[in-house]
Amino acid sequence: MTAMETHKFSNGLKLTLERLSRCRSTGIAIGFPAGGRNEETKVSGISHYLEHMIFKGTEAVKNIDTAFERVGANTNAFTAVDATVYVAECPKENTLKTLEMWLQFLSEASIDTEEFERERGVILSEYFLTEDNPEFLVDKKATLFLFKGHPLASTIIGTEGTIKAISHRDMLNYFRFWYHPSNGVIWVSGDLTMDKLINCIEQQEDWTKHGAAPTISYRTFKPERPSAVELHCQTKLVQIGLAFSSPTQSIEERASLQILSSMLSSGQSSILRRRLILEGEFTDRLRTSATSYREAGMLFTTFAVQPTKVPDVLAILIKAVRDLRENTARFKEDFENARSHAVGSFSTGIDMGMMWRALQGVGETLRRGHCSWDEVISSLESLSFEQFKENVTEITQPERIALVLAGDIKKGATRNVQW
Amino acid sequence: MVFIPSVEQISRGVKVVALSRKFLRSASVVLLIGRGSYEDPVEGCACLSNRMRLRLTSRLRPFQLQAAMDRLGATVEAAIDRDLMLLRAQVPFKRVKECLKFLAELYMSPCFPESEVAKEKTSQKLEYEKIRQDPMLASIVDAWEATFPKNPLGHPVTGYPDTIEKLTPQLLEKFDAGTRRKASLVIGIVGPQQESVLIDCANSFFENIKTTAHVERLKLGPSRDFNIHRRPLKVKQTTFAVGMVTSGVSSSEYPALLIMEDYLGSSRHYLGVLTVELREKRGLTYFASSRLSALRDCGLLTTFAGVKHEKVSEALSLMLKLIVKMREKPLPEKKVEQLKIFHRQAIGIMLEAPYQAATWLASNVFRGGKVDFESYVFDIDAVSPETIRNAAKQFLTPSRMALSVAGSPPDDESLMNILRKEVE
Repeated sequence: MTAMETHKFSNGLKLTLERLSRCRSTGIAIGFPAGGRNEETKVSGISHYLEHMIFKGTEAVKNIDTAFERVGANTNAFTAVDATVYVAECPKENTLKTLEMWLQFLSEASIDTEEFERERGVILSEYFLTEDNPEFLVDKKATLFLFKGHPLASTIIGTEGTIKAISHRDMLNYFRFWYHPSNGVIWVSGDLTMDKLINCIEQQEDWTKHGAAPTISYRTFKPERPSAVELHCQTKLVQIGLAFSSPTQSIEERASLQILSSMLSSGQSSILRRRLILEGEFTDRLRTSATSYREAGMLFTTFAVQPTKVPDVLAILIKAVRDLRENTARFKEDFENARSHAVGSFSTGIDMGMMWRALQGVGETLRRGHCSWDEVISSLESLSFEQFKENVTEITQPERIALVLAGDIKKGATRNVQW
Repeated sequence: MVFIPSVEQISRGVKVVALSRKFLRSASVVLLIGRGSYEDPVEGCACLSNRMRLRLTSRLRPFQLQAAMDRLGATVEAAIDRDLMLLRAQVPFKRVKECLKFLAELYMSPCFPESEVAKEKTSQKLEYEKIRQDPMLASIVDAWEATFPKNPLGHPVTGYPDTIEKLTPQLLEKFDAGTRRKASLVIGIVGPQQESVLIDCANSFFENIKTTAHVERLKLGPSRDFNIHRRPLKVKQTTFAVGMVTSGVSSSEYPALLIMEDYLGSSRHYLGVLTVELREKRGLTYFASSRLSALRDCGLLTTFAGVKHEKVSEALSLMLKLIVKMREKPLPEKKVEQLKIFHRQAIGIMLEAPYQAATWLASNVFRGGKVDFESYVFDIDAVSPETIRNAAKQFLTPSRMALSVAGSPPDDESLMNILRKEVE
């Protein structure tokens, strides 16, 4: 069991300490529920752009990277569909200093006009990187398509047009509105005590102030038959992306999504790995992710194939989905293997490093109000096959599936795809 | 921070390095096999032989083997470098012993039936193609080829589609037998158990393996002029990489090279001079960084950036100026001291991430680097502006440099003019 301590400040700010005895470094993460889902279409990408601007410093400290470097802190930040999270990992003895610095930089960011314009070029370069990489490209399109009409349909980075259109005023307004301490979540993993953390945060007036924080209007997600998208581009290989939306209200639904991810494609003996790599000669590797947002989850898998193999691969995908939906009972043994794989992946995922640990803790707390590794593992270990079957039948309904193909493909290659 | 891993020789040719971190939920095990693509009889052979280990063994058929991995809750991958092959596993800590047993089987009992080899060859060819359609990955891989032309260090570890096609089960069997006969084997383990417990676990499955602890010396080719590798791709921005031949992990210059890498910008130290100048000051790129791939006897320092097609010349000139400056003038003393402190702390933090730590420990043992944290830090502390400058003068020279460009590169003559103007 991991020792977790939580504290809620009077303004709503949440703090979690994951106590790791004899750990010599610390992971820190500070998050706000400000991601792609909060953005108006015309400023799509602004959350991510703001994440970059935070690193441009405050009036007092122009270069925050150098400031962090002095205390041996390695920092980063991540923007997701539903959150932006700032992270650090540092030697244990510099924990409070590192936390204090992040708190100050986040509340006092100057968002200088000149820096704002210069950073636009950097953001565009990152955007082009995602366009040039078929895996990123297919991932972006699958998210848009799967959640069409719902706030979860966000590419996070925006488009070339919106990145160019976001104004300095848009940025300041967005920053002031969404980075409100009452909505914030702080997570610390390390060998230290809660009272010191609370004291450190209470000394930052901006973080304990009261006031009305923006509320997020969560909308029920109703799947609406997304089907297939074809992106015609001149690449040697065709990148295929297969995405499913899933219910995520209950812990069993979320556990089902993780185990299905292992069973379908992330496990070494998964259905698609078996049919596409072990039995067939269709691809070399499957990249899979499973994310449980507040209103819905997304299971996404992507891989590259030779253009001539596309029809055979589509037939395999269709068969796999139908098997899962109509003959789930046949997968009892696969279910146990997938469960072990999911538990193992989760355990090793937490141990990826102090920064990742804290990042996962904040993400889960922002989505569910709390986070417990033991609770997640227990949900995976205790899920019954009957519950799993029921959830898989729902997740594999045709209206919950999106297929994306990018490459030099024939027009209409996906016309006959019937799930 | 103090980290004292245990290193033990458990049999002739087999060493174990173990580090205990009490708070972990999982353990990471790395099996390092001391033969890599440098010894390929046909390009791609080492890579394919290692990939086959994750397909089947003489006891476990395809699917049986993968199902066994899933039942263990293990994520296992095969990786390759010029001088070594790796089998890496992450597993819930209670299964570490089973995991070692499993890896021992993958190492000892690979199997190469023709039909399975054919499937894995297709996968490897796809991996080759995939890398080459991504400008960033392509430019970094091409930098090896451009820097080490006509040298086994230069060819891609995957081989080429035509050489992969030539690989036969017989060739793979022969290569694999040689691997077990003359390879050095290093097992790296990081988990919450005591080091002695982790070493005992390894001992129970590997103590009877005897090799000749053979380490192939990697030889550089003769000096040459600048080399340029161009890869036209229809993409939205162009990536270029400058490759520079360096010495290896066991050399006296290695600590200075590590600080040099951090100064330029690395995965450890994001805010290097390349990021500051190309990204922060000019907004030219999202990524501008460096990577030191140090093998035992030599290495490659690569600097790379992705920019708009029309900005390649400007960004390349600037990158080269920053590289050349290091050999002309010592870095400020204060900067070097900051970099050293940061490096020590970054390595300390990395050693708490089991996956990275196990790989770092095993490869340092194999390549002749330090694994005891205090000795490692002692070497880093000895780095000075002068030692960095000396390393720069030795390695950042035209005869050791090459350029690769993927995307929409300027013509060869323009690129050569930039190289000559900035570097010579």
